[in-house]
Amino acid sequence: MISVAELQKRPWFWPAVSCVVLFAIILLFSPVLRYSILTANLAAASFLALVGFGQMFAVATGEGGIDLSVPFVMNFCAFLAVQLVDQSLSSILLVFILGVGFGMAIGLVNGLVVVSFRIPPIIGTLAVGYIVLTLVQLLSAQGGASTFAARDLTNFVRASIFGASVPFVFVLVVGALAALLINRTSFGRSLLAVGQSRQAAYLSGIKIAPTIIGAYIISGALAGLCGVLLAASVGSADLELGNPYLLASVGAVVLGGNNISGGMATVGGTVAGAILLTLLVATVTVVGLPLEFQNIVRGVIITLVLVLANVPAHRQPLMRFLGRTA
Amino acid sequence: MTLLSVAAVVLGGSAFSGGVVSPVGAVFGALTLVLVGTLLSLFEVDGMFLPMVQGFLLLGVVGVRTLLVRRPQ
Repeated sequence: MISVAELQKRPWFWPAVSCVVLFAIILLFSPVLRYSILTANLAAASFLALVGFGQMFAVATGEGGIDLSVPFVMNFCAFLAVQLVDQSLSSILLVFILGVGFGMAIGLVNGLVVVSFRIPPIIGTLAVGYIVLTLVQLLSAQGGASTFAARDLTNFVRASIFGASVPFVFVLVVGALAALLINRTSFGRSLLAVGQSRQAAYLSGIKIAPTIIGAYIISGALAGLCGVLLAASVGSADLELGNPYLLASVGAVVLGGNNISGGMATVGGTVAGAILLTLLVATVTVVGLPLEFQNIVRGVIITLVLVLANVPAHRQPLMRFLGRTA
Repeated sequence: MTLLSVAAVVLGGSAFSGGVVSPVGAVFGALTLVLVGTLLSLFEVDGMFLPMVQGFLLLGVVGVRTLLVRRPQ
């Protein structure tokens, strides 16, 4: 049996607790069907969790590692999905391959910009993102045909497997793969070592450049995947589809208990962070707060979670009490 | 706009790691980013290409500066 104090040390503990509390509040205040609220929020959080996983790898590289090209890659792949998909199954598969492939290519460029040119990630990935933005505009002007996703693709993404939505299944599969990659492979170990101290990693013989480039490729790939899924789920693409995911993906990573200065990657935490951010929007709406207070409440809750998660257990009166009784 | 402001500051010569600030540079950085747009329309280039040109400009300027200031190990 794990004690409460023990549990509290896990990085995902506080975001997970906050999710449960928020969901309880939603249940208290909403008069409509409860189960559907949960599934709707999980579906919405799935997209955020997917890009969050990618962002987590970029952030884990440390020294200001961050991928700001995420929304632009998502928008590009959204248009790709809308304009390329035909009616046959093979082309649905093709769209996913092309979307992920494009994301990986941009990720490679990001990695090279950061590693070879030594440009700070926040400015390098942003610059690459702007270049992709022009590509998005060219692609959207090119198509002319329709901005609506093919029915086959939409049906595939909106279907449910054993009661779980397809994007959520993607989260489970990608999350399991990401956890394996981080905890069980030399790439994962190298990534965390590089994020904790480049100097130490270099001295212990870790190849730093390929590790960082690999992290950005993963981030790009997941942004591409998420762009395709999002366009298919919404049923259309537009120029601003992915924009909210720029800061939200970083938010999910940090709220999930990952260190913004790198060297850490917890898959469960990132999922909890993504669900928490999504539930926050739902909660302030369901509770019926006046519009002008919604942002304040959201900011206060996010700050509270971060404070709880970052103050050690023995400095918290509540945790001291629970730890003694448990 | 949030991010473009960061771009302007960096383009204007402030070191990204902090410690070096140049307020006047930030103004010129912002001017550069906007004037690029004017230049493009003078050459009758489609406005779509503005973000791409800004992106390459950022990469070029920051890349060259990093290479000049900090020698590769």
